[in-house]
Amino acid sequence: MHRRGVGAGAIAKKKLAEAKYKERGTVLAEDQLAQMSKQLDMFKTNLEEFASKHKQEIRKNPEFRVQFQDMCATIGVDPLASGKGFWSEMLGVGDFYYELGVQIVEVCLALKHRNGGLITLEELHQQVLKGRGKFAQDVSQDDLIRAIKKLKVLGTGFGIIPVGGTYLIQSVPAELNMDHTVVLQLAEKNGYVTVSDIKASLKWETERARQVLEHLLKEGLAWLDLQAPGEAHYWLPALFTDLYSQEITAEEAREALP
Amino acid sequence: MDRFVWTSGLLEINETLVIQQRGVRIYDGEEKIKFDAGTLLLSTHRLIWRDQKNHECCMAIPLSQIVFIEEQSAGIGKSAKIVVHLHPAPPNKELGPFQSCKNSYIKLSFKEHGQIEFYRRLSEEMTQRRWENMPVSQSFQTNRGPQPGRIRAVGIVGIERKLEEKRKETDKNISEAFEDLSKLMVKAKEMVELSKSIANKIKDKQGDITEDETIRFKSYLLSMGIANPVTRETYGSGTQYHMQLAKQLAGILQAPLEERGGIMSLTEVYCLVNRARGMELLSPEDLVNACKMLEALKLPLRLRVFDSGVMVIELQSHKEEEMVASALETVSEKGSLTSEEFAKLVGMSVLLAKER
Repeated sequence: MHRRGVGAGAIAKKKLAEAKYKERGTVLAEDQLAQMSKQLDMFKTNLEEFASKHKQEIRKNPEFRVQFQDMCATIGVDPLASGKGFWSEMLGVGDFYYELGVQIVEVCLALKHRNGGLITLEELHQQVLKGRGKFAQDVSQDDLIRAIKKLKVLGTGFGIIPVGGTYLIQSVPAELNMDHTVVLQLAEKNGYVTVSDIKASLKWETERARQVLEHLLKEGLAWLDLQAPGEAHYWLPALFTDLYSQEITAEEAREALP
Repeated sequence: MDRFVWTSGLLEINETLVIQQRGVRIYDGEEKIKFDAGTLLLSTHRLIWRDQKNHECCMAIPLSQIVFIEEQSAGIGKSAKIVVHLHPAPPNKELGPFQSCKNSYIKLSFKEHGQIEFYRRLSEEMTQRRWENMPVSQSFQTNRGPQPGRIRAVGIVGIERKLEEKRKETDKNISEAFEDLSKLMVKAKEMVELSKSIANKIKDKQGDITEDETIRFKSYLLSMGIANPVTRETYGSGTQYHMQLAKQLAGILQAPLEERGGIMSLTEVYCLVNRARGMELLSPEDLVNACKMLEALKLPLRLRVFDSGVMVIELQSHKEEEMVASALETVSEKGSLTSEEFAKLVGMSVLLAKER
């Protein structure tokens, strides 16, 4: 060993020290991970117990679902993050919301040609219920909103726009800024809006109003009615069903138009 | 059932529609009657039922006639119902479908669902009693506010007692559920704290934690639904589960991608895959995390994000530049094309046609 240079010995000692330090560092994390693993198992058991007593409650009681979701959010847990999560597997919340997501996408796709990708939460709710059929679990509007929030992750611009006490759901990534949103909210009352309406309520200049309406037309969210009395009406098909307390058949609709 | 009055179904001035639901059947007490398929409308003043097959058949009951309402959950082969208990009909009531009946309650059966929202809104209207502030024509307003000295029918007292008991029972169940839930949340919070401290340790000792341990940690986070604070370059927030998923996806999506011109939006993929699975569905995040690993795992598909934020899966063999060039050619050949027309030509979704 004396053949080795002094430097080599020092380096070797240092390396040994480093290795020991590393070991300890790894051991520390290993300890905590082991602890977490044990606690996880315990938690899983607790959750199983909870599920056996209250799984039905979650399935049947939408208020309880809301409470549950809120509590999870408060402590920093997302029960819907993964189908592989405990919450999803044991309480069955995952499948409920993920399937709802699929149904929402399908409804929006089916109606897009009519409303340009904009639909009221009420109409979406009705259509989804129809699609789910008689034997499926009922869903509340809150359930729909949560499912939609999850869908946003997929990058295709699902948007939730508040209008007059309810929401418009946007399923096509049309560019909608504040101006557009405000005009949509204005149109909610009558289902349509005119340049004069905008100027009177929002105090904008004609040009600004025109640009917004042109954009809505271009995105397919508004229809132009040049035969309306007075000035051109810009109708929003997304808001149509809200206006009628009667169900109108295609016949009646045709007769009703001037 | 004798409280109903024939009506045109049109709303009066000051009367607003609150919610409506198709597919509702009316029961007189426990008996089914001929009104089996209708649209039920709730306004600020009335409950209106219109026959789906015969729109002329339309009747209503003023909300002021309602004593209280209960929910009856669905069972096997039975739809969920709302039970509506009513005051006796006033002597000057107008014509309706029944002149007299023995029951003091009706049931509304929601054959096409919608009872959750309807019940909520009806309860709200019953609490707010907006019909008292907004007078409409006298024809259907009956004076049914709390009147001192009024003799209550015996049946109603019995019903109210039963309701009180039921409420206590339900309350007990709910509060037990909430109690258990709160205890569970306390334990869950402990898990969150522990994971935070481990995450901090990992951050401090970058490189001293083995790949294996990181993967283990991530899978723990996944089980609990805790967001991952530590992201490693190679695999992002992915775990073993996502790696396997990525490989599965590569298998499942090969054929559909080829059918659709080599490219599909992530939303399309989400629907396709979950519809095929039927059960144990993927969450949107699961899908995104798995797709993020495609390229790293050298699978024949890849995830791509456009500037607009749209996310797609495309075949590795799919070359976007070539596609854009050929698209340009197609459009110039035809003079001009809308995105819908282009979509039809090439056989892809309109959303992706727009992107191109």
